[in-house]
Amino acid sequence: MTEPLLRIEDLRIWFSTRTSDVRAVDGVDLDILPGEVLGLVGESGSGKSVTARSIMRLVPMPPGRLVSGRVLFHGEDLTTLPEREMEDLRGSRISMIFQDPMTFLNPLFTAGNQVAEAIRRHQHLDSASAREEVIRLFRQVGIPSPETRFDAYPHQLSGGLRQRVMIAMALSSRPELLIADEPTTALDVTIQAQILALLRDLQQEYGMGILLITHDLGVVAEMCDRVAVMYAGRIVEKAPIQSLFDRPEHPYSLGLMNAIPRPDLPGIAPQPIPGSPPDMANPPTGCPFHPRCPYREPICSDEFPPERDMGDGHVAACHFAGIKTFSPLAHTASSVSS
Amino acid sequence: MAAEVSQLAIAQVPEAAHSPWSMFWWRLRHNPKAMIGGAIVLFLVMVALTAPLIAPKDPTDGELGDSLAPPGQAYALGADKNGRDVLSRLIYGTRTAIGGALMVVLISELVGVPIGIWAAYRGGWVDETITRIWDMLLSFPPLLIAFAVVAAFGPGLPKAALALGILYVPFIARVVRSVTLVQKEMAYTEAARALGYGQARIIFRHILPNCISPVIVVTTIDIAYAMLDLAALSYLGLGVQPPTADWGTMLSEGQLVLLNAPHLALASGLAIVLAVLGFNLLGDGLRDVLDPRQAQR
Repeated sequence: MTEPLLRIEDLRIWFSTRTSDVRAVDGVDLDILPGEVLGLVGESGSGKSVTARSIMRLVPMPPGRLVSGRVLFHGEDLTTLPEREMEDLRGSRISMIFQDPMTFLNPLFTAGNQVAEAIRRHQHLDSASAREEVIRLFRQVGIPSPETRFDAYPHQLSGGLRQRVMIAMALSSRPELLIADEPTTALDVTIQAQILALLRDLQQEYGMGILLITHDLGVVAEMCDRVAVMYAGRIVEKAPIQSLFDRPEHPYSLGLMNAIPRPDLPGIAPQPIPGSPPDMANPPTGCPFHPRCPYREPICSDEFPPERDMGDGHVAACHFAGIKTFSPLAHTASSVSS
Repeated sequence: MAAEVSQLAIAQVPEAAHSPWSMFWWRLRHNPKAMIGGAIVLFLVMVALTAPLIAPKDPTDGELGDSLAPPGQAYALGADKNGRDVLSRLIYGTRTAIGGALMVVLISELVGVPIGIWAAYRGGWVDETITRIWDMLLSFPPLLIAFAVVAAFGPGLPKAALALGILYVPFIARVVRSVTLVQKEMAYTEAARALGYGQARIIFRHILPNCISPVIVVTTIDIAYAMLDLAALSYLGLGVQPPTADWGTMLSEGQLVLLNAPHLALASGLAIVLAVLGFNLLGDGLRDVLDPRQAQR
C-alpha cells in the first residue's frame, strides 16, 4: 500500500466556552494519498473547516484546544512541529485556498504583488523574476492579460478572477497537498465549473493531493477520487466516489444525496434531512445522527457505532451498515422509469 | 477573445480608480473642509520655514523706547512691553508652535503605535493590562500631569513636549488597537498565515499599512490639541522660556497689559485660534476623505 501523504489520527479539537466544551472535531481519522483528490463533505458546523485548518495549525488556540490526535505529513507529526518549521511548511509544501476570495486578499496591495510576495517567501527570486513567475502563473490559472492584472487591486477583479489569484498564490511553490476550503461556494455556477475544471487540470499537472472541502455533492462527484462524509465532528463514512454514490452505507450520506435537486429526474423532489445538527457542547448519546435518522433502533441511542469495513476501502460508522440497504431515491426512481 | 474581454473590463474601471493616490487626491480636492484646513496648515508651515526671510525685525531684539507701541508704521502689529516687534515674534512663534506640537505627536506615535498593535495582536492579559494603564492615564486631565512633570524636572519646551507626548500615547494607541483588532480577524490575515508568513511580517507588512489612514487623521487632530496644551503650559510659564518667541508666552504677557495694549493678546490669541482651527479642519476633512464609508453615514 502506498504511504499516505497525510494521515490524521484520532483528531479531537474542542473549543472552550464559558460553560462547556464544544467538540468541533471529535475523533477524525483520515488518509490522503499522494496525487489523490479527497472530498470532505458535510453540513455547516460539522467540523470540516476546523479539520482542514488544524492540518495547517491555523485554528486559534485558545479558545481551541487539541484534545488528542496526530496529523502526520510524510510521517512527521505536524501537531508537535516547532512554529518556525510549521511556517516554512505552510504555503510551500501544504497550501490552502479559501472560500471567499474577496476577503482573503489584502485590499491595500495589488494582486500581482501579493502573489509575488508569496513566491518570494519560499523561493529565492529577485523581484523581476518573481514578477515573471507571477505572470506565468496568472496565465496558467487562466487570468486574461496577466500583465495588466498584475497591477490590479483586489476590488478591481471579479470574484472568479480573485479566486484564480488565490489559486495562483497557493500553487506558486508547487505544494504536495492543497487544502481547498469550499473554493467555489462564493462563485456563481458557470464560474464554479471553470474553477473546478482548472483545479482538476492543475492537480493532474502538478500531481498534488487535494483535500476538497465542500457541502456540494455535485462538486464531489465531479472532482474527487474518494469521499469522506463528516457529521458532528466525526467521519461517518469513507468510500471511493463510485461506491458511495452506488450504495451509501450510512443514513446520513443517503440523506445528503436525497437532498440534491435532480432536474434530470422530474419525479423526484429533493428531500431535506429533518432536524438540525446536534449541539456539540452536549452531543447526543450513542450515534450522533440517531435523533435525525429514519432508520434508528434502540441500539442507536445507547451505543456508539464502530466503523464497519465494507471492503474496497468503503467504511461506515453505522450499526446497520451492510445490514440494512440505504437506497437513494434517485435509484428507485430510475429503476422504476427504466 | 481573451484580449477583448479584458479590454472591456478595464474600460469599466474609472480612471481615478487606477491608483489609490489619484483617488485620494480627487476626494481631497472635493472636500472643502480639508482644502481650507490644508491651506491654513500649508500657510503656517511656509511661514515657519521662511521665518528669517519674512520677519521684518529680530524677534528677540527690542527697543525699550518703543515699549507697547501700537500697530502702525514702524511695527505692523505693534510692539510688546520690551519693544519687540509683535509680527516678527508671531512669525517665529509659528516655529515653536508647530515644532513643539510635532514633537509631542511624534513621541506619542513612536510609543503608541507599537503598543496599540501589540495589545490587540497579543490579546488576553497583555491587552487587559495595557488598556487599563491607558484608561488610567486618560482619566487625568493631561495638563495636570504635565504640571507635575514640569514641577519635577523643571520647565522648558523639550520636557513639556515629552510629558505631553507620553500623555498623548493613549489617544493614538487606542485607535491603532481598534484597527488592529479588526485587521487580525480579517480573512487575509489568516490567508497570510496559511502562506507561511511569520508574525512580524504579518504585523508590519499586512496590518500596519491598514492602520495608516486612521493614524493620519488622529495625528492631525492631535497636533491641534498639542498646540493648545503647549500654549497653555507656556502661558503658565512652564513651557517655552523667554526670550524665545512663543504664542502662549505672548498671550500671557499680553493679558497683563490687555487694557492699554490689546494688540498683543489679540494677535497671539488669533494666531493660536487660526492654527488650531486649521489642523482641526484638515483632520476632519482627512477623516471624510480616508474613510468614505463613514462620510456617507
